[in-house]
Amino acid sequence: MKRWKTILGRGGTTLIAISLALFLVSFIPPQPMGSGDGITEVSARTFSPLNRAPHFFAPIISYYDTVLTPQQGVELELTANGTITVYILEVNTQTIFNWISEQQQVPARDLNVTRLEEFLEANPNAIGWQHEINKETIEHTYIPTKVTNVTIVYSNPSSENIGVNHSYREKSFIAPGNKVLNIALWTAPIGIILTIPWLLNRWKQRKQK
Amino acid sequence: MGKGKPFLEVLSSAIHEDFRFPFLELFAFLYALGTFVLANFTVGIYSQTTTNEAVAYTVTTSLIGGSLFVFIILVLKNVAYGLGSDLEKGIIQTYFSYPLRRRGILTAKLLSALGVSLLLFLGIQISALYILAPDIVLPQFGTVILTYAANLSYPLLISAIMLLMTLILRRGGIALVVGIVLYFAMSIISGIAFVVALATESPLALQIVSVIAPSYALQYHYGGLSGIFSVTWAPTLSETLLYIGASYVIVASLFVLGYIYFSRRLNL
Repeated sequence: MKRWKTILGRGGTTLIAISLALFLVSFIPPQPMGSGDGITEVSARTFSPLNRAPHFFAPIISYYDTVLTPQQGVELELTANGTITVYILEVNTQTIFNWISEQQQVPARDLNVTRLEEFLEANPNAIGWQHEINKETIEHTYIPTKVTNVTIVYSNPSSENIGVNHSYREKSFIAPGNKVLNIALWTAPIGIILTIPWLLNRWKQRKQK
Repeated sequence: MGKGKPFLEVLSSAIHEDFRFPFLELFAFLYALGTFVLANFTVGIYSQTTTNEAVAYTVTTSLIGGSLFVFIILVLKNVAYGLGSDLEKGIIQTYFSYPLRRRGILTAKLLSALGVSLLLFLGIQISALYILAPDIVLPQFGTVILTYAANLSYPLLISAIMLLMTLILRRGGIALVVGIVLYFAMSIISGIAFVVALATESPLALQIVSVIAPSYALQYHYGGLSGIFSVTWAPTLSETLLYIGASYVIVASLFVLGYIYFSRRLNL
């Protein structure tokens, strides 16, 4: 019995030590990598990747394409003046356009919303996150679980043009803070519970001496 | 009384000696911290154009570095210092009075010194990999395991040499120094081998180094050194597996020698 108490107790103190390390890791602040604000106009029944170019350069298009790792994330704040679906896709925009061109046998970019739906049906694994925005502001932090291309696409199936205000901030961190903190919050109490009988035993032994 | 109970007695005594409070906790803390702080997934970005296996390899390698150094320190402490002081203080002689074969005693000591350290190292590392990048770890679990096998071979070789030296000299001091020197010497030796390979345009020097440290063969297999360097030598996967296998044969042979010496030649 005493031996089991020791084994469990030392296992508990080890868990506490690991959770302390995880707490420490979760408190290391992320480093900013890049950011941007702007508006993307999405015409009726079309889709559009997030356009990074400033609004006063309206004819210029610079789609948001990046490569993220599990140690990098993108914080998004999106506001739409209508109902729109936003997707974070784990491919680059060129992959989407190439796929559509191959399917349609036309070289031009077809931004019809049904083409995007066909692409998503054929590549369901490409969807990293999706959300419907209905005349509101949403915030989301996206952290991939592998090294991947990332693009943000708006889908507007409605019959009216919609503008989407975006603000994105890319961050680099040691480990996903929330995930690590959650694990630390679970392991620490388990460790403490396992340690208590062993500590009591040690205390009793010292008292006897 | 069977042999199981004396074995567990020796094992528990060895664990108690090797991992006195708070050594286990301190090393667990360092493993966890080292794993997360030194993990570098940005290296995976440059492997985007190559295979998923190469990404899994680069990511796993980035995680191993810091914790492997902590692992080596723990093994140096347990094998050279721990076993050495047990021999000097006569604790091993006390174990000989147990109804247990000598090889059973050595197994218990090694399980404590190496087994617990290895369990802690792999447990924390693979959990950290799973927390950080499940989509890299799960589909490429074979590559992850292969990377660990290749990287752990040389530390285990050092452990086996330290074990033999500690048993022959019956003290751990010199074995400890030799272990530290061997650990740092490998980076110098591999550097020299690389220069020789470039100069002679023959991978022979790299192949010789890979027999004792197969992590280099794996590194070259996945094109770890890009550009002209990878041209020097690009072993296939089966060749790399052969190097890993050969290195473990050497490690196992040295441990067997240690067992034979401990069972038959160690006069205490």
